[in-house]
Amino acid sequence: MEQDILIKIRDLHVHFQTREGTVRALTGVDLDISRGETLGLVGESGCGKSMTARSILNMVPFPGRIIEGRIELYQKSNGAVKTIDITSLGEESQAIRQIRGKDVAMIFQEPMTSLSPVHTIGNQIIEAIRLHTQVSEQEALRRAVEMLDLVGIPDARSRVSTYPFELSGGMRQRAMIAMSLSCNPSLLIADEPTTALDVTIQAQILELLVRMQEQLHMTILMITHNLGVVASMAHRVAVMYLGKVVEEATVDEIFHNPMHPYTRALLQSIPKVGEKTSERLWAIVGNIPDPFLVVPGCPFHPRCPSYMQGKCEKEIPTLQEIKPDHKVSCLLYKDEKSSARTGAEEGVSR
Amino acid sequence: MNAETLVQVTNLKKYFPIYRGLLRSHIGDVKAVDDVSFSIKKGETLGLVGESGCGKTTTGRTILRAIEPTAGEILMNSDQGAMNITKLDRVDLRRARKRMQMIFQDPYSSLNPRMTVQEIVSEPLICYEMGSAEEIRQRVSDLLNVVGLDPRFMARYPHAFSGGQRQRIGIARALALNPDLIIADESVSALDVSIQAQVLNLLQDLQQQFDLTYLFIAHDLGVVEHICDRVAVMYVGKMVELAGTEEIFHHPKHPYVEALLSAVPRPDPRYTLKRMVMKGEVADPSRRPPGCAFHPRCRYAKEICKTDEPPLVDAAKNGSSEHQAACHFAEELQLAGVSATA
Repeated sequence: MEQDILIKIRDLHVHFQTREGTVRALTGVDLDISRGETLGLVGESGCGKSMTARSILNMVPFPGRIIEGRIELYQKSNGAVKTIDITSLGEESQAIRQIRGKDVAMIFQEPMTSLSPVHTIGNQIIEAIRLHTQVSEQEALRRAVEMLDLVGIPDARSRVSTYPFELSGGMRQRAMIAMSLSCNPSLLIADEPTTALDVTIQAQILELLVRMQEQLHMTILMITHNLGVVASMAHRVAVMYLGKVVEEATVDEIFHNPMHPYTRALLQSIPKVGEKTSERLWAIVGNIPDPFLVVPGCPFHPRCPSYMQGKCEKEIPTLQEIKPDHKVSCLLYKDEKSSARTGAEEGVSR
Repeated sequence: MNAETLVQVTNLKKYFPIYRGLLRSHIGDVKAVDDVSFSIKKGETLGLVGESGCGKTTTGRTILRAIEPTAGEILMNSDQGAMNITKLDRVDLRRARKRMQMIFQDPYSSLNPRMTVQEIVSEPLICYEMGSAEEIRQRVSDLLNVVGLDPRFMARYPHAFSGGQRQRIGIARALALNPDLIIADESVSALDVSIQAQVLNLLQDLQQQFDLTYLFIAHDLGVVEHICDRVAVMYVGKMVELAGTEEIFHHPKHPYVEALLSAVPRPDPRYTLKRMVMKGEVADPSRRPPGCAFHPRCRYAKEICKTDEPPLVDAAKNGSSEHQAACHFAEELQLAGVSATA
C-alpha cells in the first residue's frame, strides 16, 4: 500500500498575513493521494480546497505562506522511488518548475482566464512540451495536434492555430486538458473543471477525464463543490471545512455512511433530482464564520446539530481512522464508537 | 385570459440585430427569444430551464420590459382586468412594474456597494412614495425581519455581509413593494449548498406568506425540481417542453429534455449512469439550424427534423394534466425520465 502513495500531505498550515489580521486558510491538512485513483476534494467556498491544491504546486498566492507541514511527492523513475518535499523547494526554484506541469499539472475552472489570449492554443501547448522535454519544434507541434485530437477537438490540425477566444467554453476546457496532459503528468489537479459549463457539456468533459485517466494511468485530484460530480467521478472523497479535512473515506462510505455531522448536513441540504418532496430542505444553520476569527475547539461546533456542550468548544478533534478506510475528525467518535454513533444519528434527524 | 392566470405571454420575440462593416449594415439577428408562448398561474412557481444562451434570462427580462421585446404580447391580470405590458406608456409601465420585481443571480454585483442596507431596501419605497420617512424605516425593519436579517444591521454596507445574507437583502428589496410576481434569475446558483438550502426555504416561506408568484429561472435541475410546480424548458430561443414538474421529470416528451435529465450527475455513487452524452454543443442562436434546432444533436432525428420545425403542441396522454412538447415524435417516443437514486 505504502509504495502506491503519490502525494502525502502532513499537518499543512497556510496563513495569510494581512493588515487586518491573519487568515488561517489551512489549519493542519492531512491527506494521502494514491497512484491511479481519483480523489474528490469537497467543501464550500473558503474551506481551503483550492489552497490545498495550490500548495501541492507550491503556488500559494501572496501574502499567503506555507507556515508548517510537509508535502511529499513520490517520484517514480526506472523502478526507484524518489521522495521530494515540495514545501522545502523555493517558489521560483528550478526544482519546483520541473515538477509543475511535468509531475503535477492543473486545470482551472475558467479556461478563458487561464489560457493566454494572445497566443494560439498550439503555441501554448508547444511551450509546455518544450519546457519539459528535449524535442524539436516540429515534434512538439506533432504532439500538440495529437493531444488535441485525443481530447476530442474536431479537426485538430487546423484548430491548433486558433486563439482561445475562437473556441466555445467546452472546447476551451478540452484544450486546457490537452495542454495539461501534454507532458504526461502523474497527478492532474482539476480545480472545479466543469463549474462554468452547462450540464450537457459537463457530462462530455467528465467522460473525457475518465477516458484520459484510463489511457494515461494518471491520478486525479478533483476539486469541486458539486456532490453529484464527486459521486460519479471519485474513488475516494475528502471533505474539508475551515481549512481542515473533517472526513475522508471511499466514495460509497461518504455517500451512504457519512459520519461527520458536516458531511451529513451537506448531503441532506442538496435537492436531489428524481426525489421531489414537499418538505423543506434541511439547511445548516448559520454561516461560514469570519475568516479572521479563530473558532475554539472543533471549527464546526457553532453550526453542528450534534454539538456537545462543554466538549466541542474546548477540544480540537483530530482526524482518526474509525474503521478501515474511513477517517473522521469529530469528538462524537472519540471514546466509545458504538454509543457515539447512535448519538450522532439522533442529532441529525429533524 | 382566465382569472387563474397572472401573466400570459404570447408569441414573444426578441431579436438582437448584428451589424457589421463600415456602414454597420444589418447582416442578421441573434434570435434570443423566438416565438415563445406560455402563461404563469397565480401563486405558482414556474421554472424556466435551459443551457446558457437559450434565452431564459432574456425571456424573464422582457416580461418586465427591462428589455423591449421585438414582437409579441405580454398580458398581466390586474384588478382592472388584463393589461398589455408591451403597449403601456411610461407612466403606466411604472405603475405596472410595482407589481413585478426581480431577484438577481450575483448577490455581489446586484447591490450598490455605496449604499447601506437601509438605503437599498428603502429605495423602491421612496421611488413610489410609500409613506413618510418614519413609516419607510419601519417597513424596512419589518422586511429585514421577514427575510431573517437583524434590523440592527441596516446601517451597514453590503460588504459586511456574506453571500447568503446579501441574497436576503436582495430578496427584501424585491418584497418591498408587495409585488405579485417575482422573477428570480439564477437566484441561488452563486450560493454554497448549505446557504442555498436556507434561501430556497426562505423563498418557499415567503411565497406562502405573501401569495407570491415566481418565475424561477435556473439551470440546476435538482433545485428546479424541488421548488417548481411547472417547468418550461428552452433550447436556442424556443420553448421545447412545458409540463408539471413530476410529469416532465419522470415522463419527458422531448429528446433534449431526456438528454438534459440524464446528464445531471447524481449525488450517489451507486447510481449507475445511463448518461446519454450529447454530441456537439448548443447551436448558435444567430445561425439556428433549419427544422428542429435540436436535430444535429438528437439521437432520434429523422429526415423530417432537418426540414420542418415542430410546433409546441399538446402532447398530454390519456387525460393527464397539461403537457406541451415541440417534437415531431413526441407521441411515439418512449423517453426515460429520472428515477430515484436510492
